[in-house]
Amino acid sequence: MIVVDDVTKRFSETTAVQGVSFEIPQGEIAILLGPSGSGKTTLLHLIAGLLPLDEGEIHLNGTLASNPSFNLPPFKRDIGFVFQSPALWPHMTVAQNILFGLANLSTLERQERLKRLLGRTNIGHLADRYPHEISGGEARRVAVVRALAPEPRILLMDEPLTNLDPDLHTELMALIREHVQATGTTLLYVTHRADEAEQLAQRRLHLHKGCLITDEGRKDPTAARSGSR
Amino acid sequence: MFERVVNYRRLSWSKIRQHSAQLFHWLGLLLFLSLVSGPILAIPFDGEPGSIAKGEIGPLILPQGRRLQLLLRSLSLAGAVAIAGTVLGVAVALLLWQWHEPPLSWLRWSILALIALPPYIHALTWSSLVSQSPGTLGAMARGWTASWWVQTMALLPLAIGLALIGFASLDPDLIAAARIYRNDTSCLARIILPLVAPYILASSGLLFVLSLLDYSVPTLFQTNVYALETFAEYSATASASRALMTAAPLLCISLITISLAQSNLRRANVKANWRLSAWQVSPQWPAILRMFLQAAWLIAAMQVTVPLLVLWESIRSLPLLVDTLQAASSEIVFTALTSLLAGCATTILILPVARELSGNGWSAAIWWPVVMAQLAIPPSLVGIGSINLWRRIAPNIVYGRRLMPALASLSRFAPWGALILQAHIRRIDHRLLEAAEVLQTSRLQGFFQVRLPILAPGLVAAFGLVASFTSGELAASLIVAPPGQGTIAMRVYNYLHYGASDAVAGLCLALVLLTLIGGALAALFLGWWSRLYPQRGQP
Repeated sequence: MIVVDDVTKRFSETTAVQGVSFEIPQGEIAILLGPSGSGKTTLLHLIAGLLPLDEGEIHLNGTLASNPSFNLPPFKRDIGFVFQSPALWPHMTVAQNILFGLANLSTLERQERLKRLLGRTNIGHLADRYPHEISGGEARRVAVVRALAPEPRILLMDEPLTNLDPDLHTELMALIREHVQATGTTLLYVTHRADEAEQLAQRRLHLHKGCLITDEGRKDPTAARSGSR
Repeated sequence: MFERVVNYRRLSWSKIRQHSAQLFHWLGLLLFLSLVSGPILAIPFDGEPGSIAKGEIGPLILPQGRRLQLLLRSLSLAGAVAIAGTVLGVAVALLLWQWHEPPLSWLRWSILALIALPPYIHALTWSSLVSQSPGTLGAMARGWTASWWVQTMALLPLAIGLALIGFASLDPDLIAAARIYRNDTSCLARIILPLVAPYILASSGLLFVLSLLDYSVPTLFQTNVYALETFAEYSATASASRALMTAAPLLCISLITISLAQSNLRRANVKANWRLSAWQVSPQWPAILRMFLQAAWLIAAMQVTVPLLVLWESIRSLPLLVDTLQAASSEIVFTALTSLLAGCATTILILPVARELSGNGWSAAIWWPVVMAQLAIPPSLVGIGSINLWRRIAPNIVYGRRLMPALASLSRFAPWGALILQAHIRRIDHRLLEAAEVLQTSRLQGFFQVRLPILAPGLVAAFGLVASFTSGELAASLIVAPPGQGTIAMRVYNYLHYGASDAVAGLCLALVLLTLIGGALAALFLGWWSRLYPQRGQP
């Protein structure tokens, strides 16, 4: 569950996010839409704890995660994150990249999960390769698998499928949807593509110039808070 | 018909322009090679091949007995300096890397200006500080330990600078991705340090070589090192070939180290925008690491505060400082002109070389070893080679004239400038240059309105570094300076050996202040440039 309550973030004189509030119940998929520079990525970084916020509060899974005087470290937030770029660590193989987030599992469990995910996404043959030895599409696939592997309760995805060919796009979209439904994960998915949004969810949050201008398709209107304040 | 002639002429003119640009590029490369590598290539043409007996060659090249011991002692000193400097440099850079808000984000780079503080200033101030202390500490004011500490202090800004460049070159997304899954200590150990390793290894290699080739600090602490042998051999025999053979072990070790350093630097990762910060949310290090970082920071702060305070304590009077400066006015002017000349010549010479270095093809594979090998050459050999070269090429115009120290410094330090500029070129978004190629009305317009402003920070940094290094250069200047002329470094070095502490302190204080002012000006330029070309600081 993600609760964003009246959150504001400024970079010197620019306000990137202005009084944004919304709530995404556990297991729901929400799409964050908006033009370039509207504050989508900043909002995702705030939720992940990678940026400090200036005003407001963020609660994740019922726990306070951020306010102006407190920031729960990202690794304690039980989240997965897919960045705009694959952001694979170049000195690690594909398998090592995926296993990095599974430190709390036993060796056997780690290997089993790795095998299952690699098999499910048809990248088993890439396990021992380094990021510079795989294609851009394969790197995207690895980045998605890395985020799914620890089975976090919240997934944040920042335009994860940009510039992919249609087949791979459909395949990864299906993988994400399937994983979220099977594990009951809350997903906040950033995109500026309307077709992608339609495929994935009914719930759509529209950001414009840092403000939340519409919140469409809420399942439970009583739980939702007002939009931009 | 007329149209065809016009088109033909246009075609020819564009071909000529294209070829002339290529021609200038190759001429630039040739000039760099002649001025920078020329002195060392000139050494074998000594003109006295018969001066070395066959039986002498072996012992000269392969040190035995006293010279072998000396070499081993020099290697241990250089190794200790490299380890201490690298550890401290990485720790301080890790702290500076977290300064992401202006003005601290650009002020942190001014630490690079401290590279310009000549080692003998550290030698002077630390020896006078420690010699006043009683007991063991007082005894440490001379010998191996003192040499190690002072060389570490002198080379610390270089270690910090290289590590900071390494940290700043990391893609923030890579760190953010790691912070999602592990705590900051684990991210540091598993992600950050392995990714910065090429810079750290290159830095320790350079520190090792610079320490190995330096004799000025160890001799001030009565520690004999192998680097002095080359100078001593040349002073005793006036034979450049003998000096080269004596330097052969140092050359071999330095060349191997430098070639490892260059392979690390070449594969180092360079991010386009150093202004994007990975630490918008401050890292949470364990207490022991925090304490270590703060201790390293304290030591780095001493790098500049100890010279300032000790020198001011020695002189204590502004009129005395003015008198000292007036007495050394001719050396100050000579040093300033030499530094300016070496710096300006470097910025022109390194343009074509840096372009070659930033490429990926066979040309880069040739130029990297050529440029890096220059850093492995003992400074005395550069001086000796400069004499050999210019005595033959231009005996009346250059040899024995005031130009010699500038040319020797150019040969020693221009490769540093080329490395800095290539690092800057690798960071440039090449689409900007391609856009200029398409849209420019003339090459000149493209150069002055697009290329030059984009290259400016790299060129200014290269100029600053070479001018700073030249102002403190000693080992080659001692050999090539014309009679009756000397740099500040030479005057201070002579004073240090023969007394006159007030005069030394005054000159050194002036140098420290000049360095700090230079650093502040460089930081101001960076701040101005950042505002001139603003980029989005955050996602």
